[in-house]
Amino acid sequence: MTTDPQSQALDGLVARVQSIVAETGAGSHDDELLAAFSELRNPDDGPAAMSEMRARIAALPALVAARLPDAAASRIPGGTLLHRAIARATRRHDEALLGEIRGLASQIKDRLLELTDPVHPSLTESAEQATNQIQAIVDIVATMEGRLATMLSRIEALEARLGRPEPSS
Amino acid sequence: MSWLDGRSIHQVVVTAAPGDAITNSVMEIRSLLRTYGKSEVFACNVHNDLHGDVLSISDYDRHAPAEKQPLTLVHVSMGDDQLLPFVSRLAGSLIVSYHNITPSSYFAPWDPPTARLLELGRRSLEPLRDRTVLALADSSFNAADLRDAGYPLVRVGGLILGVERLSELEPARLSAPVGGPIVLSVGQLYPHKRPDLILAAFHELVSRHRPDASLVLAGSARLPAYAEAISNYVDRLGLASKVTVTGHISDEELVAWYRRADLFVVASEHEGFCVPLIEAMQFDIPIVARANGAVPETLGGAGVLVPGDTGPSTLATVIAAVLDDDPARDALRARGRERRRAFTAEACRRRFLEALEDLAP
Repeated sequence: MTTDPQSQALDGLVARVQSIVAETGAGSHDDELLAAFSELRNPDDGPAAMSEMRARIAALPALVAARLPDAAASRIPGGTLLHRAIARATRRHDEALLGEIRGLASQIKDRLLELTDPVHPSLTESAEQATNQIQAIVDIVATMEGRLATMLSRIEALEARLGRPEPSS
Repeated sequence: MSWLDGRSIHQVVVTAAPGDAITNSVMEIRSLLRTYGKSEVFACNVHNDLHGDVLSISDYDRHAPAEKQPLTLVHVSMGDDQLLPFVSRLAGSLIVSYHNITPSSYFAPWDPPTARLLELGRRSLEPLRDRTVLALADSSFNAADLRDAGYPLVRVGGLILGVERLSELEPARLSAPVGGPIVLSVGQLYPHKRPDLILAAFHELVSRHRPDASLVLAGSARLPAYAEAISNYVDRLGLASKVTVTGHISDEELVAWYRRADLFVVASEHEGFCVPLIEAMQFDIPIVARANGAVPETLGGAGVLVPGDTGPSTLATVIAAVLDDDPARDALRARGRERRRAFTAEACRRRFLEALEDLAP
């Protein structure tokens, strides 16, 4: 227990402050006040969106499935062997092609991460220009991924259908 | 006798500019080191007013120490493309003095070049570490950063303040006189210092508690876009007649505001030390501060500390409570007088030399 007047005054103030902090808390009025400042940010601030864009780039999924669908079986006598033979013949070519696409996508992704690195000079030379360029590349990569995913799902559906016995007539 | 006698220790700093707290400290350190041996300050960027007194890093070779294994004191606060290449060709070992680096995310929306330099600064810690024999920190808060970065020998005591010299200056005549209690905040107009939150709190203060109050935001505005946004915010809140945003001011003008202020407020989200707290204590101003970064440590109980996430309404109510309580204000002033004794130039010099003793052979 403090006895000198100054310490008592300070203790009283601290108790009041603690009470104020506990009672007032953060209110919606605070949010409104501070939001009014956030609205004043320059809408052309490229780098404001840069960290979000960087997160989006980092989150881009692995480009395509790691494997090609298996060759389909067939009910036709000798068909399975035929399908397997065709698959074997084209598989190496298809996988090489997919490997190239994956490599390309990986390079694009690495380059984009490099461009959006906060210490990369491109961001300070012309932020708006750099942002536009990067945004265009991100869109291309996203489109490419979407198309490849669609293609893959079609292949998988085809694989499933080929492997399924045909309904008897 | 000291192991430092006859020893040349030069300093390297990214930017040397008048009025800058780090530059002031660097000059104080130079004065101290010159009592033992040769000591120069080299900077990647030298402000015009300091040319001749501070040397460019391109002048280093003409002043290189005679020792085969010299010690060089490198100040880390912000990066520069020239810093690491320059330091990498220096002979001997390094003492790193870390003044903390504000997270670049605060600056990215407002000033990408500054954000980039901050990021460069943060990344310079790792390549500097392996040649560093001693790391100095302004505060325990900064010391924790250095230990996280893998620096093995870290001591608090890298900053030499000369705050008491401000008391000796003749205050300038203020061109913008204001009435009622004056709430003062001092610091560069940077996003992490949250001048927007101070303005919002002040809006609440004059709306609900003290309509006669005035606010002064004193400090350089080096980010034009941010300064413009702050100015627009003042207008939007309808506070133009009650708020003074000074921009860069002389020490004499700063002293004039300190002498007129009734309360000092800090709302920063990130501070490696916060020199203005000690300045406010020097001028007997009661302090209200949000508890972020090194602020609680520097304040040392000599002010009213509120939680780091305190919002404008609460901050305003606390400010009003302090403004209205004269006995408590006297007690806070007394605490400030006690606390500031730990940061006199003499006390700082002693701490600095004690930290260097770890390197004594």
